Amino acid sequence: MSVTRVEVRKRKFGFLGENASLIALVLLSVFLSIVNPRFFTLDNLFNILDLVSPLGITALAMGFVLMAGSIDLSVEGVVGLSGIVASFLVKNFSNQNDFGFFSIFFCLFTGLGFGLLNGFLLYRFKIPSFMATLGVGFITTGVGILVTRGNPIVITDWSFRQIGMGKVGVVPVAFILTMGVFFLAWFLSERTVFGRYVLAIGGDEAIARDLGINVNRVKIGVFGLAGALYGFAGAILTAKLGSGDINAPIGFTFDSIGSCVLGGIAITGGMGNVPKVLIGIFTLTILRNGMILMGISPYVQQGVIGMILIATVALTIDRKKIKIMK
Amino acid sequence: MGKDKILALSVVIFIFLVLSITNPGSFLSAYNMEALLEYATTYFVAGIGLTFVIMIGSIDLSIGSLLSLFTVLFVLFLNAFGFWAYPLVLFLGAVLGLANGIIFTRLKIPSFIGTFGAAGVYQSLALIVSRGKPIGVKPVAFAYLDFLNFHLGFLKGSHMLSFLLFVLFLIVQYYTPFGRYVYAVGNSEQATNLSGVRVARIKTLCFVISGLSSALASFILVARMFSGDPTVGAPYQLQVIAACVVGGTALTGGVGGIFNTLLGTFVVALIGNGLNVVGVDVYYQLIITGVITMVAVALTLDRSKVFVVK
Amino acid sequence: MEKQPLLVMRGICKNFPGVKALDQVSIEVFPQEIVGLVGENGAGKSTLMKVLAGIYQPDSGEILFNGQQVSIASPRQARSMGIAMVFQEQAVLPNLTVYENIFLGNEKKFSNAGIVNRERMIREAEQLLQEINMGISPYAYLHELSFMERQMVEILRNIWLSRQADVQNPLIVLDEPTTVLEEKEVELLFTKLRELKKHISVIYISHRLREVVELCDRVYVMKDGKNAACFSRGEFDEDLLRTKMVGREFHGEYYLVSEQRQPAARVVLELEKCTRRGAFQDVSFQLHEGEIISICGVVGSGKEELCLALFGLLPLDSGKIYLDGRAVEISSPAQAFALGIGYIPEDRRNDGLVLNLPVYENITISILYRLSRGPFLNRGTQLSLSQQMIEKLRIKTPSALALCRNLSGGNQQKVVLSKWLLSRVKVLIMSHPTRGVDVGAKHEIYALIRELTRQGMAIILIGDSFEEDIGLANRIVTMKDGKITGILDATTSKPNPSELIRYVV
Repeated sequence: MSVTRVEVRKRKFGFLGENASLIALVLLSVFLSIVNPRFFTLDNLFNILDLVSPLGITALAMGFVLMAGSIDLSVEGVVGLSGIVASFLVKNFSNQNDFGFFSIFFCLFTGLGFGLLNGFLLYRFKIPSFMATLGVGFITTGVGILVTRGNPIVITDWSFRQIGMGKVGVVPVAFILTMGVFFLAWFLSERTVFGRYVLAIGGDEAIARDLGINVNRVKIGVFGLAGALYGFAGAILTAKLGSGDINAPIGFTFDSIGSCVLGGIAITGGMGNVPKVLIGIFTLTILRNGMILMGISPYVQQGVIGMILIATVALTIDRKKIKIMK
Repeated sequence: MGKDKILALSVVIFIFLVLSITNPGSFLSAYNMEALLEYATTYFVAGIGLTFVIMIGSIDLSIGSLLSLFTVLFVLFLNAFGFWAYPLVLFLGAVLGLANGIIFTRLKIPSFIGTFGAAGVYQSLALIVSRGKPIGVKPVAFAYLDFLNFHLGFLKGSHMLSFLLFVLFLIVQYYTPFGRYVYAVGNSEQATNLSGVRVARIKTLCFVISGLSSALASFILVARMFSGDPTVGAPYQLQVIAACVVGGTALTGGVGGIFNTLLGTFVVALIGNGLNVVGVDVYYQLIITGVITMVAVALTLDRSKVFVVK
Repeated sequence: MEKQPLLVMRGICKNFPGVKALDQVSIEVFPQEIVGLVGENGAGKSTLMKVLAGIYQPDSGEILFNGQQVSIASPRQARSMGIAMVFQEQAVLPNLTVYENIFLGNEKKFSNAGIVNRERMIREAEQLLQEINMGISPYAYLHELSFMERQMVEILRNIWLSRQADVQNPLIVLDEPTTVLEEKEVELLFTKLRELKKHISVIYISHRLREVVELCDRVYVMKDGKNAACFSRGEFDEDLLRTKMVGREFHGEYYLVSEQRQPAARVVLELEKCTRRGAFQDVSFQLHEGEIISICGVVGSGKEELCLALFGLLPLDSGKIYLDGRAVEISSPAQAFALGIGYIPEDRRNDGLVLNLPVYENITISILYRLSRGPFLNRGTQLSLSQQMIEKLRIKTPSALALCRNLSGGNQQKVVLSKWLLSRVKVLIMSHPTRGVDVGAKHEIYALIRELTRQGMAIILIGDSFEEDIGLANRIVTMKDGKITGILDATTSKPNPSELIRYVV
């Protein structure tokens, strides 16, 4: 409609609104500690830290994509395929390779490549992100199945496995790596031009373009970054499981998007930051952990999270931004 | 016949001819024809609802998990209630479709995320109800699947059911007010809304049909597998989207239809079947389907409707 | 000593198909002055400014900025030269902070190898914010600020950009900046603009003549795409401006005044103190069977919003609506239609018709369920009814099956009209029904409107010009700043546009 009045929107809930996700996380933790004393044990807490990666990294990637106003459904395929690349390159039962830690670079490149493919499809053919990434996801899954004949590739490189399984004192190595990635991502988001442009594009692409921002370049960059992160996550996953398995990342897409939503990243784009993704991934992990401790079947967990996802989006979505609902 | 259908039809005929000429023995055998129709009918029936949803410009990402859920429920009901399994599952199909529709129109959650979240819930339900394992149809209940499985040459009862559904929904598309409104909404939701049409109702009904299609498709699946499996549906998600889009139903909405989807399903089914016949790894199917889907999307996208590519 | 003008636009002409939007228009702006630009809707103000902003290219004429002849090819170029337009639809990102918005797109100036020096950005933002001294923090998010504060941020961005380009005296064009502001905010805006005048020049486009008189050093009046007058402070007041804005000859027969009917006594629609915050308040009037009421007002008067509310597109905050004596709540277009109200939207192509569908489907789109036998659509009836409409309204189309996108503007509008005629609505709201329609088709549409009233339909009209409002209406409701300023009789005798304008600006 041509007649619109820009309405003044004072921040709705003030401090509470901005930090709702953090408050929810704290409340959740308190609740779980009361309900189940096993939750607050050191053992369990470090268990949680272990569970945070590699999912945290994919959630981080998804966070960037969401902030730019798109979505990425290719997570599972790219993570899986990258993990398989890793498993082929480190010492394993299937071939003579022994690249050790160098394999990580190949994982990164694999992920980056497919991420850039996503961005390219978006930019050159204008395929909506959900469709392009869905297709790429299936393609990468297909390639993964093809290459492994559906069977996991078991690795035997013990030092490589330390990435996923090792501990520094009591803290899992994977967690430290994940935190490192988060820190870099935080810096990228807050302190670089690229990071600021991601939010600008998510906010209002037309205005951003008008003011001279190269929207296409930023978008391709975002998907490329996400892809590289998926690659890294794939390496960690393989190290953890001890094998490259195309089925290992099943559920990652759902959980990554769920983490972002729980942390307060807007589905419509333009709002959010790296700390929010961190809060979200912890919330999700603690939620799952709590449900396990309470004896809730893993099958139910998915449904619960699905409903929480829908509810959170319904409550927080910026309806003014969506003129026509697709 | 529109340009879009002619292209799809040509592709179907082309692939069919190539396969017939190069592998007459294996491709044209009764056994293979039946297998081909099996896949085609499953994709098609599941795709009926998705066709309507895509025509109004939305997407339904919960088809795969609904399929899983319904195969499980259908088998359970067959074993427990016999014939009543059919109406029960159909009813549930309508209800869950309605749920998707309400999430979309009332809660105003964009369809790609709303159906995505719902898919998680449905998948979860499938796993809970089946305790994670496939459930077999008890021999006493076999009889209820007979009408779907009875053979006339290589044609099965389920194939004829699909054909009936094809005719039914073709009529709905062209000869009912609802069918015309779906086109109107897909082409210009604004103008349709401003003409006093209850757009929300039309959209919700499309999702209800999508739920019903998944239910119907689960019948066909169970009739073939004699079991319900909570993981069976996942690969169908992409195949069904592919079937719709490759047939010419553009993601931007307002074009295409049931006949397009029929043609698209044959393309997808022929590719899968053809790869089998030729002896190519079935693993390639996923890749090839992914590629042709995106090619089809790129070709059919109405660029004037897409200002911002999200 | 004569000061050098900052901006000279001389002999600017701009034609669009069928319309001469600008005809030898010339204006000058000197450094450190605020120049007003006034005129009726369609007088050419925004077209002229769009030429200045680089959105349009003039067909002929020249533009000189700082004495240099320039050709402004794009908004980006205009901005880099120091000319910026600040529209009502603000070009700011509400999800980012003040300092990010000010420098949006130009972070390179603060960054090293892609890494941004936030402290420098914030410091520079603080300096700029000091200049306007409004207590806005650089850390604030735009969505926390008021409309006016956001406007200021946008202005600051443009000032900063000009300084980067070494332009000493940037020119900022403000397009209707006060429509959504409250009294206090308007005063504040004026104070700030007067302070900023030391560094910038402003072209101030507005319908609020009182404000123009108070704020502007000089003012240009435009009429029908031409210069109408130019005054300096002290030489003009509101009445003089009004006189210069209108003053065309009034041709009655064009609007078929002879076919005008006396409205019936029955009240079809009644509004009682209808209010919507920020748009209109305490609107009350009655609409009779067979009557045409035109709502007359400028941008920001609330007339557009009122019509949207009557069709269920905007909710009312308070007040009652009565249809045929019954109190009703109109919450959606579908409901409005069910109650017997129709709406012809301003944007015909996107809102009025489904362009990709054929004529007959568009004509019958509202009543498909009425045309069905059981669950099935009666195509035969659909086609024959459409054919009747095509003949009755003389719609020029190869056939009822032709796609609407292939019809001319006037014929498209006839299709929209026939849709409502066929649906037999009781009240039809028309927003700019003859916009973009050629003269011949316009006349035919006027005849159709007369015919509709003869059949008992009541019409609320927002016309394209005062003449249209006056010519077609039985009564004229004038609105200004959201309130009704008058209900004038136009049945027994037609008021003059110059009488009307007093109620409107």
